[in-house]
Amino acid sequence: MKEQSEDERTIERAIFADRLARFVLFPFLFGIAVIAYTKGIPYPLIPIGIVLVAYYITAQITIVLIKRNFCPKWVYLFRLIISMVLTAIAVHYTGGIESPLFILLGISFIMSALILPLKQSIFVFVVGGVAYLAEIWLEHYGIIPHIHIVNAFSANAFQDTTYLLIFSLVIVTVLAGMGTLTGYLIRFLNLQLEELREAKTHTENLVKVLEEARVTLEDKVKERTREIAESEEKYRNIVDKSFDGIYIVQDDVFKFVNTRFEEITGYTAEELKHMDFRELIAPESLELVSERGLKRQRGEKVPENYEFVELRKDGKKIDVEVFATTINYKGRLAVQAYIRDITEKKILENEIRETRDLVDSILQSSADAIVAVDRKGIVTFASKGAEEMLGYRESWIGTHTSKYYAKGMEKAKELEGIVREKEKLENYEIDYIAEDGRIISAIVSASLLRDVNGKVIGSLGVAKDITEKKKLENETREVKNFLENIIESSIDGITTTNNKGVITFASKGAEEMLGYRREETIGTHIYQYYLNGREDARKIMKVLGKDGRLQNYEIDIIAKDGRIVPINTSASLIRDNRGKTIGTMGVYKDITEKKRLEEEIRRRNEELENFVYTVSHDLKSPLVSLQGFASILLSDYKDKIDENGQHYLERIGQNASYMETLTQDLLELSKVGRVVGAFEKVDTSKIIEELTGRVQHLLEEKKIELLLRNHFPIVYCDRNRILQVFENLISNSIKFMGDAESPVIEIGHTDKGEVYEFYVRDNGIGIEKKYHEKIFIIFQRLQDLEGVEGTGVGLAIIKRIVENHGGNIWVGSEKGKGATFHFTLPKRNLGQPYTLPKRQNID
Amino acid sequence: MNSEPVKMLLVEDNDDHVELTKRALRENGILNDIYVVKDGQEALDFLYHRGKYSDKTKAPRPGLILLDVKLPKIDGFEVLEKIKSDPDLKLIPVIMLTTSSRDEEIAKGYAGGANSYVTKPVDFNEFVNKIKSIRLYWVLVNKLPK
Repeated sequence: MKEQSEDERTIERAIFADRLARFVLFPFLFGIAVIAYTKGIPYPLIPIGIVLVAYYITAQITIVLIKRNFCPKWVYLFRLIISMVLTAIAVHYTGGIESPLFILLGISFIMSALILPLKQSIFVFVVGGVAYLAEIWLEHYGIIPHIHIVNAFSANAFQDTTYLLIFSLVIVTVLAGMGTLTGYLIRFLNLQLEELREAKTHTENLVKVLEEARVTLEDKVKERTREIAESEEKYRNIVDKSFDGIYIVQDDVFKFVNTRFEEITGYTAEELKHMDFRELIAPESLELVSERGLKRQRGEKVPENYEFVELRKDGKKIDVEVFATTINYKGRLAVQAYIRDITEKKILENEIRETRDLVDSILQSSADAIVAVDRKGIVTFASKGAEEMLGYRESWIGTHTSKYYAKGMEKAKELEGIVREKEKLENYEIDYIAEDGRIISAIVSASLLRDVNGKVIGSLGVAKDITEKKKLENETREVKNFLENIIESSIDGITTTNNKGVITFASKGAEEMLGYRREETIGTHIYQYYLNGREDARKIMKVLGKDGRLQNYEIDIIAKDGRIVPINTSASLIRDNRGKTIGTMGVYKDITEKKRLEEEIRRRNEELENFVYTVSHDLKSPLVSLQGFASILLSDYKDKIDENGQHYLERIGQNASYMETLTQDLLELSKVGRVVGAFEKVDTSKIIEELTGRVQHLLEEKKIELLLRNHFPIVYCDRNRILQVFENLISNSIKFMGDAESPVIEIGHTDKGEVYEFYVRDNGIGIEKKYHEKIFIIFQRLQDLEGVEGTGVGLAIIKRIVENHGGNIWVGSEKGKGATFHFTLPKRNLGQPYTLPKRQNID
Repeated sequence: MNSEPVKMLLVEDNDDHVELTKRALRENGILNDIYVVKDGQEALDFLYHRGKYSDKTKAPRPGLILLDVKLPKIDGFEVLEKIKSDPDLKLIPVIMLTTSSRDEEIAKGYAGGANSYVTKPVDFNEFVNKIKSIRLYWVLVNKLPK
């Protein structure tokens, strides 16, 4: 059945009501008009006609509006009202036939009631009533002319055929109206019936279709059944070959198992059919599985997916993962489960865990700070190293990295930018801020972190604390500056070269000494400044290569102005931390002046040598002749010369001998300055011993007691010269003993720290204080030492020897109270006291 | 053996010393012919028979040479070197005589191949004693091949 909308129904009702009105009103008015015409009663045909036309027009307009669906309900209401008004007008002109009008009014009401909701019906009725009452009242007050058509007829109207006719017409009209109404009612009922019929046909069609569908379905079912039968084997295979074990348990017993389940458990399907499912659960999992199983059977909600330990037939335990659901199996509740052997997975999980633990412990044990951040810069991991480096006590996790940079967010943004652009960060120096506010410098390397799909999930940074290193660098720089200052302020020239001999540095001293600006020399080869070029370089490198150093080597350098500058250089190899030679360093002095002095000394020495030669030959030669001839004269002419003459000849001989001694001493003195023996460790007690032996007979002869005070030390000296000192002092003591009652010579020494002080003491004649200085001066003999041989050179010689050894000599004495000669010798080896500078022999 | 007495060459510029040396030799009983030349040049001329010594009879090959160190023109060490580097002359014993007692001179003399080194002492008696040692060479020289 087609559902009608409210509006459609309203339209239908409106049309129906209108037709009804027309069927009632039109014949009525028409009949009146005919009767009036035939009776010759003046009848207002024109107003009636206008009413009819107006009625018709409004009806048509209404219909059109309603069909256009223009507020059908209200249009219809309006239409009804118009109808009533027009009817009232018509009735007025037909002469107030109130009764039929009343009937009409009633019908209208009924119809309205039928087709309109109650409120609207009442409204229509009221309007109609008002219209009617208005007509009566308007006539009554003569506003409109009273037209009473019936009155036009006779009083006995009912006897009047005309009246009857009119009445009949009214009745007919009423009947016709009723008929129309009935017709419409019937039509309405028919409509209902039609609908029923349609419904029936529809149902029948439906049944037919269903039947057809049933047949088709039956065919399909048959077909499907066959297909299912065909694929059942296939599915069974799939089930059996499934990676998962599949089983159905009902009443705690296995109702179905697949092959895989047999493989997993080790039991056959046949065995399983008689087994309680709990027999397959390892004791540790039994409680869990039983509880879940029970709950599941009771229909309670339990997790479908969980893991437990399964007990195989061979007693082995395996980890399984189960996915269990309840199903309806053969009409009753059962548990269907998929079971998967996850032993491998467990192993893998363990490996992953172990690997993770390992990685974790590596990360944690690293002294470097290792920090992982997500894409927003939030820390997701921070190693122990990181915590220790900056000292934050609360967790880093969840904090933003900017917290740890000395420059905060600015730095974080900068780093993030670099890592995003280059995908990594290498050896980037960053200042961090520690919890206590210290700035920690660190070298950072970072890279992007990706998940398995390659999607960037953050970044990982490793930072090494270089605060100490930086501090060290600063200190190193300071030391370097310090050293540079020293080097730069040194008057000596300092030059360094690399392994190839190319100058890498030249000091200010070097610049001033040779006149080259360092910019000129750095980068040039050093040999070009040597007088002998490569040859000199080769010699120097030979020594450096062998000994690693070169000392006091003299070489000639060509200065910028062309002067040849002799220098004395000490050089050494420069090595790096690993001991590898990376170059050479030379420190040198301008020795032009020294050279000049040396030359002067050499020349003087030559002169002295000539002098010595002259003394030893030419001065001595006449002495030899003098003495020789005097001697021959004495022996050959002894009998011809008287005693006085002989005495004079003897005096000549003695003076010649003295002259010889004198020249001998002079030579000795000159030798002390020029010729020096090798220094060695000398046991002075051995020297004393030797001398004691030599002078033994003299001591015995003069009955002198010799006292040796203590054990004598070992000194570093020229043995023969020191022996000469002791010998001279001892023989002097013997010589100047005089007439002492118990003559004693005492030799000893005292340790004076840096020096040993030796002394030779006697109780002889002594020396007046005024001569204490003089006696050490050459040829200064004391006049009153008669009868004592001596040239006055001896003490001068030993003074020179002692001084050449770095010591002092002096005398402490008073006339008649003996004398004590003191002299010191340094303990330390001071090296050769004086040597002509010798070039280091390097060839 | 040749019974002819060995000749001696004394190289000495100082006449006094020539006289004293001759006297000292005599006192030691060495009475052989002594040829005296005044300087190193003459000594070499004598040995090589050059110049005024071209007559071999006037300049015989000496059996012993007494050579003073300090000589005009060519000094004693130079003469010594010439003698000792000549295969013919080097067998002749050379005794150096000097007034100097400097050690370095003595060492230089021995290094140059001198057979002995005598310092002339101021005391004549001592000189005579020293010349006595020459007698040792004298015996030796007498046995040497000519």
